[in-house]
Amino acid sequence: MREGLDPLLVGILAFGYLLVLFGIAYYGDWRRARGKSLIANPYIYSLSLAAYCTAWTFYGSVGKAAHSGVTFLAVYLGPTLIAFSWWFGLRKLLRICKENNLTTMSDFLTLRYGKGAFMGAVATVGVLLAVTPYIGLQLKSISDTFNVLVHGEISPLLDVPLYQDTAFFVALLLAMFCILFGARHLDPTERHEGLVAVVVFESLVELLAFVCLGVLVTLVLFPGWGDIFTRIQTSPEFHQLLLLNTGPHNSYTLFLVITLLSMGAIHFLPRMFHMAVVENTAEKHLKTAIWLFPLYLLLINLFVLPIAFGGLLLGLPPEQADTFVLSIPLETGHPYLALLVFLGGLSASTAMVAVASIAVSTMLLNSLVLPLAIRLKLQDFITPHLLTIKRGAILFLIFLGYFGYHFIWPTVMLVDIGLIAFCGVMQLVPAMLGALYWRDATRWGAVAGMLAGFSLWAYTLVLPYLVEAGWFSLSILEKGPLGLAFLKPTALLGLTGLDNLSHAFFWSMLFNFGAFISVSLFTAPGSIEEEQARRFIEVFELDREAPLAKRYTYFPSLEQLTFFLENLIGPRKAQEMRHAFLGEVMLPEAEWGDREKLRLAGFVERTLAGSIGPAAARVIVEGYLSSMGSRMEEVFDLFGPVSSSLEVSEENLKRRAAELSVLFEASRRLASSLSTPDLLEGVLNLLVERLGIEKCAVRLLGGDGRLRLKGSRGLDAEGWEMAVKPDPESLLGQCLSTAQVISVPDASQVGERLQGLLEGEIQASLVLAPLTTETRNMGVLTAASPQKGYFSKEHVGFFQSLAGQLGLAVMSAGMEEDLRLDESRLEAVWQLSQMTKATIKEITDFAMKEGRRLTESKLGFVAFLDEHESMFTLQSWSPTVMPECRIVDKPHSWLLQTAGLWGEAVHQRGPLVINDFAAADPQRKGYPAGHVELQRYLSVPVFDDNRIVAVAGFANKDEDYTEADVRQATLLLEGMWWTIKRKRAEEALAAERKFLITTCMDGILAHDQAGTIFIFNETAARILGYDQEDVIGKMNIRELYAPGQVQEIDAKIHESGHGGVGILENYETWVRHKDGTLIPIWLSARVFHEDDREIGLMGHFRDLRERKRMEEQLLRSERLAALGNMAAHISHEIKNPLMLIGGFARQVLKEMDQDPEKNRPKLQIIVDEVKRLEEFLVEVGGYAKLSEPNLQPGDLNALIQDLCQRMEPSLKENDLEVVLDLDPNLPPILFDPGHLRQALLNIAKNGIEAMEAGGKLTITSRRQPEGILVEISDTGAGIPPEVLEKIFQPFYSTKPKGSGLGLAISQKIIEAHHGRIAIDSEPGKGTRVSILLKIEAPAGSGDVS
Amino acid sequence: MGKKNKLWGLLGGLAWLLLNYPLLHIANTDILVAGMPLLALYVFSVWLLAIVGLFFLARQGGGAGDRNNGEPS
Repeated sequence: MREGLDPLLVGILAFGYLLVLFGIAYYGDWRRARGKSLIANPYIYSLSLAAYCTAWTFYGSVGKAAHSGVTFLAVYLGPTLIAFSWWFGLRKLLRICKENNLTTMSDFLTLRYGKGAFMGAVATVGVLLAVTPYIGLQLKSISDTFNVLVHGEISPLLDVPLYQDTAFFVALLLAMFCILFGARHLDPTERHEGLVAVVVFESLVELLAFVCLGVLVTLVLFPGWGDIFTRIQTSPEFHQLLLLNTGPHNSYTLFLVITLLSMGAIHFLPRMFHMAVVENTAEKHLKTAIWLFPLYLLLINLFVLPIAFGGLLLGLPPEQADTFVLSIPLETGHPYLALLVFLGGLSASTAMVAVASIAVSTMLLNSLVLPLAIRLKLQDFITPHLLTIKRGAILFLIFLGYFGYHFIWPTVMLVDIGLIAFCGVMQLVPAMLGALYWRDATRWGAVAGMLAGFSLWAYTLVLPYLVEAGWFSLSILEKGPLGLAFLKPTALLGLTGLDNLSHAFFWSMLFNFGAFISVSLFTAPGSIEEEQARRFIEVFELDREAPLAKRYTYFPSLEQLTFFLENLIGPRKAQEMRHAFLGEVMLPEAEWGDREKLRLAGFVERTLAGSIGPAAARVIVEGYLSSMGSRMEEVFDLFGPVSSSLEVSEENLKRRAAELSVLFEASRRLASSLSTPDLLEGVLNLLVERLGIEKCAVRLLGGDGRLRLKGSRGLDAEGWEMAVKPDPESLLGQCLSTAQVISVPDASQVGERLQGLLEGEIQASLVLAPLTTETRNMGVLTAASPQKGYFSKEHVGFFQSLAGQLGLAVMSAGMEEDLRLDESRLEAVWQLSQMTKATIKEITDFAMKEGRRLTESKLGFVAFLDEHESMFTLQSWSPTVMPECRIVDKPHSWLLQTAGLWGEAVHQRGPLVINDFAAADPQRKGYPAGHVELQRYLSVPVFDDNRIVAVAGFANKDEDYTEADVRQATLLLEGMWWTIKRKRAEEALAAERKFLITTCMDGILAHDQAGTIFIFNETAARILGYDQEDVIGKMNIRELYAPGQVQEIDAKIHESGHGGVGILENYETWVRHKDGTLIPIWLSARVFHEDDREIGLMGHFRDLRERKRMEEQLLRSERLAALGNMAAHISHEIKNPLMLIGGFARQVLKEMDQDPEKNRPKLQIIVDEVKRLEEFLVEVGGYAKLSEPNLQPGDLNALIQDLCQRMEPSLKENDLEVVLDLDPNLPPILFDPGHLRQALLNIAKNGIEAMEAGGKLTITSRRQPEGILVEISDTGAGIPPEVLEKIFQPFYSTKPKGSGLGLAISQKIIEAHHGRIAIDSEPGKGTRVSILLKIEAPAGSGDVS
Repeated sequence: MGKKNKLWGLLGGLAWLLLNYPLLHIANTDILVAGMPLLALYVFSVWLLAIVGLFFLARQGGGAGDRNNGEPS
């Protein structure tokens, strides 16, 4: 055994090296803080990816090469091959993560597959399991190599106590290192430039050490590569190492599998994701990394084979091949080279541990701790300690690795552990690929795939190692668990012939991809998922066609935006942003369009997001842009002086951003119409949630000068109802009077001025900010902290601004509340006016209820006064009063003098407000003992023409009654009274109408268009025999009229002939009585309209039954009279000839025996008289029996001529002249020749008889428009006028021997021919009779009846 | 897919084929060429060629959708 190096020397060197690393890291961070990023450089980025090369590369490659030849190269060939895809794949990942500010893989998956902590948790746990042994491996390698260096051998592990174990101290040291670099403060972007710088430096040291060793081996120890390889080729023991596929340990399959694994690992090992994605500063750096990183890998592997083979050829034990790189220089007397190599290995290990622990601890924090805390509602408790938790997580990880390696898998080779980790993170690949390229990938698919993959990975790959380490029974490997051979972890389902890694890779990926794809196909993505899938997959396309969804009416200039950013992130960073953006758009500002402006807005937001997180950045930038040119601008200006004078620290920045967002949020609430309580609650919530202020309260000043607590957080709510009149000397009073913010660093110093403040507020520091508007102080906002001097100068400015806004908001909310009350009252009044069907009691109840609501009172009453204002009648009262009131005998009516408090408003003839009942007031009247206790009371009288008609009272509002309450109550009650009054008037009117209708002697009915009867008065009911109730609303008018009458009436009423259109006057019709008989009525009706539309008919009718009866009676008596008259006339006419006949017959009888010749004249007289009697009887019979005319066409002139011929003897006898003047063109007409001849003969006879002294009879016929006129004139004595009137009456005659029937018969005949007959006469000159006969239509169609 | 993009895929596929069975099998003999084992020489040569290919592809400006990111100048 050779001598080891001095442990002190190695220890100091290692420590010194770490110090150098600290220096570099500090320098890197310092440069970043100055804005001159050390790492924003493509070469640095490429070299930072060398974090891929860990102690495993450094030591393990040589070990692997010494065992299985070139197989190890697959680990580095994979990344080279996959580099061909980086420009699409990795760049896409980069773009998505940058745009969404994603810092871990679990966040990436969580965002892509919809929100839900489960996804991230699965990924995190899997990655943690895969990576922890890997971390242990690094510790092991450091401690091993240290021991090799110092003791010349690896110390046996298990028997070393913890405090002597080098690895334990290495772990401790590394944990410190990681915490110092990775978790000095919380950085939402998770960028650690110092760390990147260290990794790059370490990569170079690694390469240098390896190349130095390579040179030593190939040039110093051996005469060149050729020599080494030739000797290996010729060595029967080792020549196999030059080949692949000589056994399962270096099969083509394994080569392929490792290539694939490394392709996944280069992206998804947590440290690689962190270096490649999170620490990337520019996408274009990829262009260099694409070739430079593979080149680095090639270089670092160039000497692996010569070194491994050299070691073998030097006779070093192959089982210690992992430490060849150290033992070769040590054995050959180059201890300082060994030290350099040790430092190279140390570099590789520390870089890996640092980056991995930071990356995984972030995952733990984001995907396990915080979601769990939120679920358990512990976030308030946890949030302040996030940094501590993160540091704890780093420590936890490193020691998990340490204890894992120490106790669980001490026997496993370096390389194997690395490949276990590779295969573990490989399980993320399906979900990640799906996230980037497969739109239908769903969350459940990804979860199922990962769960299946991780399970199989653990079962087929991790479990066998644990079995080998002795944790499980060997029989699991040999016979399968529980003896089930097909479940053997290394030969699942009997699959043999593969090495363990390939076997595990095959099964885990099969089930992972299988579950992922199949579950995705059978589950539908949620809408968020779908949107995210689109955003992820189309990230490049989206960039090209950036949607111009937004437009700003006023967009600030670049100058303004830079200034705005200066306030927030300091002038240096703001200028950087400005330059960067100008470099990006490559257009002068003057030529910018909407697209550039939107890009600038996005750019500013991203810049800000790097400092304060994306959410806050969005709020602020949106708020700023939308507030341009508005009042809100001042809010942002507030931060100008504060921040530009301040050296911007991250903490400050975040606090200011939070304050800004509170102000922004508050002013948004101000703008929206919220009620005062909502507003105050909202602002207090904001203070608590965004700023972490634990105790705060708002007090508002009431009209009585008292401050009332309106809302509080973190304070004992006992003081809720408390109203305080602030003493002018007290802090509250001073704050109100001066309208200035008061900041008290230590409340115990101002002990006597704390009046009105709550216990919780005066523990230590306190801020009081006045809620003011320009004219008025509204109240005080207080915030308190148990920490002395907590509130800084900036806080004062913030509270001043916030309270000012709050004051405005409270005032406008107050005004709005008044408006709302007005609106509410108008609505109540409107509702009152709609209560037409309600009773007075219901109306007053409603008014009382609404009044209580509008005035926020607990109690209320409404009472009416009688017309002398002396009697007071309680009309309505709040429902709780009566049961609570302890007055036993509760009258509802009493005299005003005894009404006490209730009547006070009547006495004062105006509203009465009592806000403090307890205070003594001699003018006030009390209320009866036992009544519900009153605190505040409001009473308003209701006037109607100077007379008080009602009184309302409301009591026990939580706050004082104000003028607004009086106004609301008065207006509401006036509305109520108006409704009641209208209701009373309407009721009176309705009663009157009803009276009129009922008492009317005519039947009155009305029906609508459908015929339904809605008015039917008593008279109508009596006439028709119905009950009113059976008819109104139940019967149709059709049921009342005789059949067919409805249509007829409807037709008639719409004609104009019955009194006008829409009117029917005295129309005689029939209605049906209830017993079925028809009743004659006279109906007068009128259609009534609404908006020019007929809506019904109203009518009144008179029963005609009585009238008809009387008419018939009259007719009968008239007939009897005429009969009597006729009988008298006939008997008279018969009596005279009978007397003559009787007298002469008796004389003849007496003188029978005398000379018969002597009796002759007497007998002649008898015969004559009998003849006359016969003629008379014929005439009477003719008149009575006059039959219907038998009309037939004929020539009237011929009839007249025939008539003249017949009359010729009597004409000649009287020596009369006849003149015929006939119109030859008479049309043929219809007449009954016999009847008409009779009629004309009677007239002509009269004329002949009138001309006893001779004369002329003229008969003319003329055609006239209305018919044929026939005139018969004589030149006789004429007829006196008094006779002329009666000339056509039967039995009227002026002639001693006339029957008086001739003209009557003629008239009857002419009328039967529908003609007209007229007579005119001039006494002494003659008489003319005119007959007009209508020219009838051709035969058959004439009106015969 | 642009021409450049196809070239990335083509060269990547070629490299993948060259570094896997069965093409790899052709070089899998234990002879030495210029003092180097053929297999190692072959693998390193293909590797180097791939890097050269990557270098030229990247030099020519990547592919479609190139975007500069906010790098302070």
